Amino acid sequence: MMNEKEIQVLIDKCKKQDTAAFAALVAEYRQLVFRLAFRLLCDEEEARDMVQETFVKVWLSLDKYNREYRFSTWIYTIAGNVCYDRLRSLQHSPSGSMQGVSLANISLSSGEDMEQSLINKELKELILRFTHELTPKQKLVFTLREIEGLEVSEVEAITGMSAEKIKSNLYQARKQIRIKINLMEDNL
Amino acid sequence: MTKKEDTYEQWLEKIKITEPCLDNPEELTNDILNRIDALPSGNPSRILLFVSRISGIAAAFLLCFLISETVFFPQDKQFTEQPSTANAVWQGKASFLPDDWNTESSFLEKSRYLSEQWKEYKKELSKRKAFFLSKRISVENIIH
Repeated sequence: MMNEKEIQVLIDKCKKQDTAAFAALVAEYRQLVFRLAFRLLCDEEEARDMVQETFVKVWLSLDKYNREYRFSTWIYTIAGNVCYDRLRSLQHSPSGSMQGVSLANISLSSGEDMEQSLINKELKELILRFTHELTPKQKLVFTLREIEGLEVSEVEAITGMSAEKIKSNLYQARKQIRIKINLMEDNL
Repeated sequence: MTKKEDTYEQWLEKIKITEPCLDNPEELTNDILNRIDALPSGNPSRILLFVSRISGIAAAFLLCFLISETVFFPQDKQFTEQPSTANAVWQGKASFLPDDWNTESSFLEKSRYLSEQWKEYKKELSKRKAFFLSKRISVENIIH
């Protein structure tokens, strides 16, 4: 894990069109972006696409990066926006439903791939079990605050929402999830 | 803590600790770099920028020069300083005779002198007009 100073050196190099430095930045943050994208979109391929989109946007707007914020916060902002837009478009498209996930859809190849696919499918099912009815905004706030464990101030910087709006979305998301849990518990 | 609360906490904890697996991360990095390489370069070379700035400044100076030449007619060096009498003629104030004029001269002589002056004035005027006209045509040609 690089420290903030090393990251800043890489950023300076990237600003001079150094793609090798950018490759190092991608290697450092790709897992963070993939994790966020996967938790929001619950689809491996979609998450990979979002990682690409995010880093292309990072490359194009490196000059706008404000050093007052941590680089990870800035990456979260771009990734959050990219995934939020995708969530919204999936919500409005008829084939974009993320329900009905089943382990039967797994394409198995090698042993390692199989294990990875299983982990991802289980995680996908686990997340969607209670969150598939959340709005994109609620899902984004809930993922950033509750799952990623970010501070409210960071969520404010990433989403551009006020603290009140964040709290309200978080409250609604928790409420929805608890209703789902109650329904599930009652059915057992 | 109720059972339902417990379920919520357990569910959340499981999501938190389960990290999604990124398959073939190096391939993903290469894909990103390939996409970046394919992007049109946003930063033109510094030399090109410098040359464009310099030519911009030069063009601005040239434009200012042309405007000043067109709007504010300068004193033509081609025409030398005229004697006060000729200037007076040029300004249309040739109603007087030179100081060394013989007051005894006849009316005919006066008339001849003044008519000579008038002819000279008209000749000078047409010469100037022709010069300004040619100059204006050449400026218009440059602009268009």
